[in-house]
Amino acid sequence: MDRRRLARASRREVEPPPEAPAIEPAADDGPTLARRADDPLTERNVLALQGATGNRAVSAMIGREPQTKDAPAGGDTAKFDLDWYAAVTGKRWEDAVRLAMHPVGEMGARLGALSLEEISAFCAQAGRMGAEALAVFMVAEGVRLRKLDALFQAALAAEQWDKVVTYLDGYAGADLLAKARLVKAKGDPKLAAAAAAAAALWPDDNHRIRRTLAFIAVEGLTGAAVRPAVSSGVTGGTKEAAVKVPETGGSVTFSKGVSDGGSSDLYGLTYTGADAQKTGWVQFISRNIEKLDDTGKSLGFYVGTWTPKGQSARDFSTSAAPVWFLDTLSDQAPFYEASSKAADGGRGLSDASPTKTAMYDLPAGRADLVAPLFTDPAVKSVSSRALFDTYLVHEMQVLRHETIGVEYTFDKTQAAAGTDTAPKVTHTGGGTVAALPADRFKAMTARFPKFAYLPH
Amino acid sequence: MGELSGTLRAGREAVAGAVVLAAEPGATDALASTRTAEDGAFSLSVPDGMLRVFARAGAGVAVGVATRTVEAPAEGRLDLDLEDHAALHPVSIVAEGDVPPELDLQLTPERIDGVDRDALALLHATVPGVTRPMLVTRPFGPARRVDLRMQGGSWILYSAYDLAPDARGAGSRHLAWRVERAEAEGGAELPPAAIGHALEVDRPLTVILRIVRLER
Repeated sequence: MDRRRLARASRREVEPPPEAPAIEPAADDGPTLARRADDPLTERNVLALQGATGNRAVSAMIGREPQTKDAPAGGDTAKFDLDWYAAVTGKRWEDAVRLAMHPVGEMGARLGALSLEEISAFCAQAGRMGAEALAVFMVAEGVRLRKLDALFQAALAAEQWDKVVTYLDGYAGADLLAKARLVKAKGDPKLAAAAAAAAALWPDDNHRIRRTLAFIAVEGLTGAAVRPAVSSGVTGGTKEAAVKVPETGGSVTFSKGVSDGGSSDLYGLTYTGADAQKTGWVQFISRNIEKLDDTGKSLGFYVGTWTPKGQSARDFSTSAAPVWFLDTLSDQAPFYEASSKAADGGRGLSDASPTKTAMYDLPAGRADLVAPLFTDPAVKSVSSRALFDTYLVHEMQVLRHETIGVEYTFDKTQAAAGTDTAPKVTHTGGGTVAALPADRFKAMTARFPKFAYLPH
Repeated sequence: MGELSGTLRAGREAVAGAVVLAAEPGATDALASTRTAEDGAFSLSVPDGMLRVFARAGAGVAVGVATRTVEAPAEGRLDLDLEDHAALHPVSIVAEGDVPPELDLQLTPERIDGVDRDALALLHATVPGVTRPMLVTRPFGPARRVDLRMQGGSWILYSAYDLAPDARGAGSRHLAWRVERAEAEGGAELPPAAIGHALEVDRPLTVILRIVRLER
């Protein structure tokens, strides 16, 4: 920034911030995502609103707030401008923010004169300073977003994909998705070009821009289109207490002893809440077969493969080092409850409606593989186990996971009969998570490479 | 430590791909193991002292076991022959009925003439690279038939296949193929074994397995 720009800037009026989008009130039992009229402008409230609606909306709102900081009476504009100039050119951003907290004259024009790089650094510093600089941060953020919008639109029009993705990286939340959709609107080949530019810029496929572009590419296969309303027809079952999902205001319930007519030993995972058709289950399965002697001591695990219907061979592993495979019948999306594109394609047993996404499962015990293990006289019993790690996902977010074990125990007589024994179903754990473990992400993208948008 | 080398044969034929292991006499854990080459040759690095050498031949047409107790490394070269213990008999096993392409035949000996039970326990010794619990696993293939030369003795004959999706679909059923009846030439039904059926091999045989598909 040169001195002439500085002088011009100090004379200009602050541009009014854009209007904030309408904000839906939060559900009574849900997270405090929206700011009510009587909420104080606390850092927590602002950050919550920012997370839900993006910086643009918050910036607009803050821009309408009365200034709570008093400017020093009779301040010296020339001296302020010199101090401001020195702080900006010296990249002393904390000094610059502190000056902006007690401005002499309007700050908007001064902020507007900064380059995108400068205003971004200023905003980052103000953000780090927390509540004391919150008002300054949000005003500056409005300025930054207007600059960013202009540069992004110009790069998009010129199809300069390296610049497009670089500018995309300046957005967050709803703003980012909205801008990424503008790239998609130019056509799939252009979106692919942008994704390639992002991959060149950020080798880590976990980078949020890479994930965002990946999500936009398959967004049509992440919602109701692959979760058309369906009723499983299952009955019965014992439910555990529902667990809240704070991010969506919904809840998750585990149940077992569910009947589908073929068996009464199914387990179920039910998400109930708003936006259910954009919320679903990504399930991973690991299997092991353990040989045991007459004292229950392990004689080792079966080494080999199983081939589920419609899939390629999968390796059995051990309880201690499970190897995971994606568990879905769908041919178009990784979600358990997703439908298939093929007319004769499968769909996991599920309930889907605007307020509910439930899945039900019970694997086979594989008596055919268990029986030959009893040709070793030392083997007195065999446990055939399926371990499940099942993730609740909503659009680009991973919200929580549940771990479930299904165990079939055979003795020689039962194995010789060639039928499964009664399974023992256990809900072994679960909790809030924000990402898929790397091995499970790899298992998912091995079958659905385009669905690389979930954090991992 | 010393080197114990030898060959495994089935009469005049070399036996390739067989597992050869060495264990202390009476033990069920292998001290060393290897596989025979195309010409039936093998070589094991073994500790000095008395050892039981045990060969498991399940990959070729001639199937069975061979064993000998040796003083290592003084014995030097060790030649094993499946027919040292029991004669090999041609046995054809034919699958009839609803036979899925994935269905395998599995066989393992419960008793081999001339091989003591302690030695036969080494069929179940853990050996790197060996994953099948039974000695022989062979697909029936398009001909729905497996032709072998089996050592004289008592064998367990087993065949089963389950097909189920991992994820449960609406109305999806678990399909299972099982041997409904196993019979020798002339229609005599084979008796049940601990699993599958018992097959006494003492002459040339043809066995017919009647396969049925079950829906669960």
